[in-house]
Amino acid sequence: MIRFATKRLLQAVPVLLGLVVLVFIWVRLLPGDPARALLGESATPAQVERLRAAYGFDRPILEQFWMYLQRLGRGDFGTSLTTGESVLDGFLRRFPATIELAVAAMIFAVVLGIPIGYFAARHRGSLLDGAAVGGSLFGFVVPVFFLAYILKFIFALKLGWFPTAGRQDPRINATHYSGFYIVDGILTGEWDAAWDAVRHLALPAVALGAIPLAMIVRITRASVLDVISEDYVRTAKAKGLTRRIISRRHVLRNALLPVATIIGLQTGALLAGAVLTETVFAINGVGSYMFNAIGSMDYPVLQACILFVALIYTVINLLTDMSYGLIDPRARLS
Amino acid sequence: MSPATAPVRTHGDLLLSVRDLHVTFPGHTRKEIGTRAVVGVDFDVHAGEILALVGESGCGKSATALAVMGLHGPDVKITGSVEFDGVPMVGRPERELNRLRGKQLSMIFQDPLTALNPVITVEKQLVEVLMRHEDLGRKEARDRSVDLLRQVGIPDPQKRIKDYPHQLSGGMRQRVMIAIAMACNPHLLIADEPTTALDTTIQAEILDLILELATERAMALLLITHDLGVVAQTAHRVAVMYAGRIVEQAGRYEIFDQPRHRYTRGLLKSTPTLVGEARDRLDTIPGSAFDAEPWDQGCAFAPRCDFAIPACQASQLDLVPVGAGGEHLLRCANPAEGAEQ
Ligand SMILES: Nc1ncnc2c1ncn2[C@@H]1O[C@H](COP(=O)(O)OP(=O)(O)OP(=O)(O)O)[C@@H](O)[C@H]1O
Ligand SMILES: [Mg+2]
Repeated sequence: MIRFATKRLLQAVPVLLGLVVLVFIWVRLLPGDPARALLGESATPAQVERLRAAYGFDRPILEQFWMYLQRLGRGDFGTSLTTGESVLDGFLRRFPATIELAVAAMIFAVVLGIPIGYFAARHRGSLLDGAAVGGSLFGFVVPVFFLAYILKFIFALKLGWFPTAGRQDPRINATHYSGFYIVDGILTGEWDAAWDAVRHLALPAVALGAIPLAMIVRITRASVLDVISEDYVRTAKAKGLTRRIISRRHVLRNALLPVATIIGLQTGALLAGAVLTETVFAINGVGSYMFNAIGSMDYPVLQACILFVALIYTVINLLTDMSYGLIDPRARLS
Repeated sequence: MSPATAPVRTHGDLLLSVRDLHVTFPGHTRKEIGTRAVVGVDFDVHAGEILALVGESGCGKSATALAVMGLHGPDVKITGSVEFDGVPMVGRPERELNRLRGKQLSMIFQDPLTALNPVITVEKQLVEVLMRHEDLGRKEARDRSVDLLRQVGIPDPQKRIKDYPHQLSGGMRQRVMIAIAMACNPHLLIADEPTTALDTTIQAEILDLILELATERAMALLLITHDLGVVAQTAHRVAVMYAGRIVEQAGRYEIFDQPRHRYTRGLLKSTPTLVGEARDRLDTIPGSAFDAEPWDQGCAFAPRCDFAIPACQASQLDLVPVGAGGEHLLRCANPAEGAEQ
């Protein structure tokens, strides 16, 4: 398993490197002078000159690329054009909020999606099946931001069951170590803080998790329907095994392979949805960071966000591949 | 190849009794009638007896076997009666069937490549059936599994038991399947074309293994095959099936020496046999079983039969005893004479 993981990790290196090259080229393709683009319209000629020298925009392209790699290695992504803050600092401060949101959305989707898909398949043609199929269609067609607004309007504004915005009530005055508020609350034993963070996260997580939920329901259902007509399930029945063991050991485990793929792909797509969800619920995460950066053409920030998204995609891909290996022994070989 | 040496009439008590079995697969739409795969099949299997069920592809052999095991899906319509050890199987609740399957009766399938679960080890697939039916702990079940693998001729069973199915050859997988089916010493083993999917070089080995284990444990065997040659010769009795019905049934000497049904003769002619002169391999029956009409009007084989007479189409044909002894059953309006070939 470790060898498998290492191998996959090494395979990811060229992909990431390729993306770094793309981002590098992208900045150099910006209209006009890259130094000016990185500094924004309001920069003085002296500032532009200084940056050009510092980044070596006057040097040969390969040398520039080498310097660029070195800067990335040091974690130097430059400073935000709008706030003047170090991009790395701004990024690290927001990053836990987004991860927390994405993880919560995915947990919501997986924990509900797999059982619903499974039971829909097992009771194919039943009312529950119809509801699952219809409901998942709804999940596909409703845009994330619209769902976010609706949820916020009904459950936060009208009913008042959940907070409308942010990640935690500032009056709680919670201690933060990692920036993952729920984790922090649990680690420090500040249960009220953790609970408050959960309540803040609930609606955004549901909004963001709707599409992956719909996907997982559909894929699980289709996959279970495939697997229950497999010969080995018939063998399991011929052995007189109980329905429970057949379901768990023989049907579900095999049916989860395509589901794992979808979970992997959808987790990547969550980051795109996070941009909208964070904006609606005023969560100060990478999503809204990126959203604002697009609005203000804040290239240093965008650059960092793109690399971040790519890195996340790569890691998730790796995890997906590893979960294959866990589920299916045949995948461990290749 | 060792043809079973037991005489025809050694069998003990009645173990499996199938009467007027019908299996209908659903059509694509609700209105459509569907496929009548089995159209009124009767046969018995006695304790310790080997019955060969023979017929062309698509004649309903597997559908019959699955009905006996209760393995058809809920949308497959099954009528008639299947009694195993005196208890009715058709319409029996799943829960009760589960107590019998894998223990009192078990089944080996045609394709060993797909019959084993690809994502769990051979050990787990053996242990689970033992722990389900026998009062064994995990450790004991594991030891028993290793023993079983040894008995079915898997070399180095201690090590191979950790393997996943894809790490084994087709023959080895079928051996594992046999071990699973034999694990709880069933009274009846159904082997549905257990060698068809295998390399010709190991077919004989696997068949011998099944026969040896079944004989050794005094199991009854329902051996399904499309081969009226070597395989069927290992049985005590042979039932020949055509288009969902049994057309002829007799002791193996009778069937091979004095086949009465034209279809049985055709099958024999198209199969090379061990005994007697080599027959022409190319001498096949014209037409195909898929042209066969349902049996509502006479014989379904009539359109392909050189000896068809008006009576073949006209009347309801029953499976009736012919000759002395009442052991030889035939469904034919114009049967061949005794020893004529
Ligand atoms: N699941 C199914 N749905 C619809 N029709 C089926 C199904 N399974 C089998 N049939 C049809 O039922 C008939 C009998 O099939 P069956 O599998 O019993 O044949 P068989 O004698 O076992 O043949 P083979 O030697 O190919 O295994 C065939 O006409 C087949 O097309
Ligand atoms: Mg078959």
